[in-house]
Amino acid sequence: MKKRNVYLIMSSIVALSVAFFAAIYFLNLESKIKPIVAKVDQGGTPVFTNALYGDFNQPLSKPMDVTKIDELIYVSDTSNKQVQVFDQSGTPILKFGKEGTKEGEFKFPYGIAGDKEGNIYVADLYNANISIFDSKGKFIKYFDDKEKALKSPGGLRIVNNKLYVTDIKANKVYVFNLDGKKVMEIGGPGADEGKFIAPNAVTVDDDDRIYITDSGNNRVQIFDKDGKFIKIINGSEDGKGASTFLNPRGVAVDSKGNVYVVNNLAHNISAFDKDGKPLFELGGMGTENDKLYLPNGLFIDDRDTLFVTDTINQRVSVFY
Amino acid sequence: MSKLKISFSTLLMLILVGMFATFASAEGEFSPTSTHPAEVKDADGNVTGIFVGDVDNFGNQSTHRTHGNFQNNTNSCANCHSTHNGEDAMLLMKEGEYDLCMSCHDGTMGFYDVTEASGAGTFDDSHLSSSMHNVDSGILVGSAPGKYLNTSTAELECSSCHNPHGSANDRLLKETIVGTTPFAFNPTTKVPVPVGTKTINLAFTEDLDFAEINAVTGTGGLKITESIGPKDSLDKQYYSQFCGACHDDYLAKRSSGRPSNAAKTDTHDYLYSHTTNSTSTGRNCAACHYAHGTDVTTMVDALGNKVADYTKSVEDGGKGWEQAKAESYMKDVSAKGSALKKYTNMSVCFACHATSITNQIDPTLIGPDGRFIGRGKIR
Ligand code: HEC
Ligand code: HEC
Ligand code: HEC
Ligand code: HEC
Ligand code: HEC
Ligand code: HEC
Repeated sequence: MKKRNVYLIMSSIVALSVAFFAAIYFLNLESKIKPIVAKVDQGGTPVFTNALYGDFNQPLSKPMDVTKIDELIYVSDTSNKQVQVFDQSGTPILKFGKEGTKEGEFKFPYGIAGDKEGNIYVADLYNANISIFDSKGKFIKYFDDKEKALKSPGGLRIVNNKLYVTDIKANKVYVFNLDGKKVMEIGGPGADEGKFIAPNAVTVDDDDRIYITDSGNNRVQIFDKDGKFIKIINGSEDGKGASTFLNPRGVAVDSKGNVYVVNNLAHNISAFDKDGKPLFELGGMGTENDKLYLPNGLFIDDRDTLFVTDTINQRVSVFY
Repeated sequence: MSKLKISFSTLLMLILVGMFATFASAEGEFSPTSTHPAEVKDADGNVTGIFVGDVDNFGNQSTHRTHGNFQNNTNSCANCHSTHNGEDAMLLMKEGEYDLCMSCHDGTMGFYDVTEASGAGTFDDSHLSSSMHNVDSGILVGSAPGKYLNTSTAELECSSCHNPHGSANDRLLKETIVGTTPFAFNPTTKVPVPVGTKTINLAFTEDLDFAEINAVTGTGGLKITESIGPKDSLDKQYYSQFCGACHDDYLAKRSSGRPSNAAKTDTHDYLYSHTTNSTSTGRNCAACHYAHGTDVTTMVDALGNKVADYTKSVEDGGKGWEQAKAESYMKDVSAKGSALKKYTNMSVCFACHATSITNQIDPTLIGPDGRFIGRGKIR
């Protein structure tokens, strides 16, 4: 190659990169770029990308839980006693439900989850039932809890055709088949290992381990698939020291096995690796984009995108 | 020359190391524990820890209390004052204390759900005939009906009545409500009772819905209780003084009339007030009112029955009424609204004053004292 050509190529590379970074800088594209970089850099901390605000005329009011079914995001809009549905960009698509105790009505819609058919299950803490809707928001039926076990259903997830639900007053977690047969029960009131006070959320990882937020005891407990206690995550080195959690709520696990716990009163999300070692925190009290204000529900999708309900800021924040 | 170069690069390196070290140490955050819940700066800017014990005022080992004991701050402050919020260790919420309390008292803790009927009534506004202390609406304490001396410009909040840090009184009821003088005073001498004295004992029973929690020992003595109002005679008087801290002109005796009468200069007899400041049954605020709020499902009639008693099937001792029918029976039709009442409409007055008409009433509704059986529930 001629020297001149080399110089030309080199200087155009310089010019292009200057233009590229100038564009990012002047067009404020950092937040768009960061996720891409983060995706490449597997060790990266998720960053705020966008937020879903409800319908302009009826913003989300105390959103307590969120889930993603197919490509849509479903939010229990608790104080409005309804469910709001968004697409990924935050455009409101649909809302359903109203205040009441009858079919299709809510008093305190809380845990929300979807099955393989795209039906939506909503746990109602006060009405003490789980309603099932089709993807258009039409009420189909109540979850047929054959033993009438549910007293105050809170956190709800459906994994591999099993329904996991926390019962806050009973201080237990139930596992059902989707036809309503109870297959397992974990817990009971107390502060010992394997006992709960006000369990608010549940999730299951790829190895079928069950993670349960034990809000009243300020900890997350992990159980194997048979409901045998494995260990505690509470922010301390080995889960045996004093807890650093402040009213822990939503819990979710990403594809790497990292565990994310919503710290309601610390207004943040704490992340831990597989072994419970603290990794980083997201959020912090505030109203700015990447801040949280009394966050509660948490869902992580198969692309490791985090969705967290931010009750005071009346939105669902997305971190990626 | 080369020596100079090396020392320059060393210097540069040192500067860089120094910078990184400062950043790293700045990031090191304080982690609260139950006995060392917070770090604060003293007047000189030195960081000092807040250390707390875990034995409560009554000498019991208590590791599980969310709210504290005032005397020794036995508490995990971090439950509400997050130290993870950076500069200000005492930063709680920028606004919206109501939302803070309702993070736990909305039913997601299981017990003490203030939207459910309890001894304090309810904060649920979704039913017919509801009325309540409208916390979180920016209403001023000094706008209380029946205020005369109370000119407070503070906003009505949960913490207008409760001290989340603990109190000598049951249910964390504050000892000082308006101004700096305790609300409780000796009814005869009018001398304020010193702070730290327990004046309000409530009549508690263990809540059977939480019998299992109450039975376990690992929770540091956490006991979930139900209340039916002030416990003994004196407690009733102090309870009225508690409400009277804000509604001062409604704290009165029939024979001496309302406090504002003293300011009247004409010759009328202004003695109009029911006795509300007495130790006797029915003549304290808790006899007729709830503290939080009321609604059609929470109020009772002169028999002491609720809507739920009428919707029960006949076999179960109810009347098998439809919900709508029972609610229109119990509905409060007063022009002034349901005013946090425990009894619907004026049925509380009947429960006591109906002795003269009891011969016109179905005898099964009348108790051995010759009054409506609902009178037995009046505090
Ligand atoms: C249940 C929640 C809660 C807990 C637990 C709690 N606080 Fe508070 N704190 C509050 C609220 C609410 C306020 C505002 C109170 C007000 O306006 O009267 C407050 C106010 C304060 C203030 C401001 C001064 C004042 O009294 O108004 C200080 C200082 C404080 N708290 C210290 C503490 C310490 C120290 C602890 C632990 C021993 C603690 N708090 C635990 C809720 C809490
Ligand atoms: C972190 C969750 C949490 C928050 C936030 C919270 N509480 Fe509580 N509260 C509890 C728990 C748990 C109990 C029962 C244990 C206890 O008494 O400490 C309780 C009990 C109470 C009681 C009954 C106490 C008794 O001894 O009978 C009152 C009254 C109360 N809370 C008021 C408040 C007020 C007012 C606020 C807001 C300033 C508040 N709480 C915020 C969890 C919470
Ligand atoms: C006007 C004063 C007042 C206000 C405002 C108030 N409370 Fe209370 N609260 C009381 C009194 C008085 C009691 C005890 C009632 C009784 O048992 O007779 C009580 C009882 C309670 C209890 C125990 C309920 C039970 O199950 O027996 C809780 C929990 C509580 N309050 C929380 C709150 C919270 C949270 C708020 C704000 C949303 C609040 N309070 C606002 C006066 C008040
Ligand atoms: C901290 C001050 C404060 C205390 C203590 C207090 N109140 Fe109130 N109360 C208010 C204010 C302010 C209002 C008016 C605003 C509202 O209705 O929310 C009010 C309103 C009321 C009303 C009228 C409600 C209506 O809908 O018309 C009743 C009844 C009442 N209070 C009873 C009580 C009783 C009973 C107690 C004692 C358990 C009590 N209050 C203690 C401040 C107080
Ligand atoms: C617990 C029973 C009880 C209840 C409930 C009750 N009262 Fe009374 N009432 C009394 C007693 C006892 C007296 C007389 C002594 C006193 O005032 O202490 C009285 C006095 C009166 C008086 C004054 C009579 C006079 O001679 O001066 C009137 C009027 C009255 N009550 C009306 C009512 C009304 C209206 C209600 C309902 C809001 C009501 N009472 C609720 C027991 C009750
Ligand atoms: C014997 C029953 C009784 C007692 C005792 C009682 N009240 Fe009432 N109160 C009522 C009734 C009934 C109403 C509704 C009046 C109406 O509908 O006009 C009421 C109304 C009120 C109102 C709203 C009135 C207004 O002006 O808007 C307040 C505030 C109030 N009471 C405070 C108190 C306080 C504070 C006490 C204790 C010092 C107390 N009450 C004791 C029966 C009682």
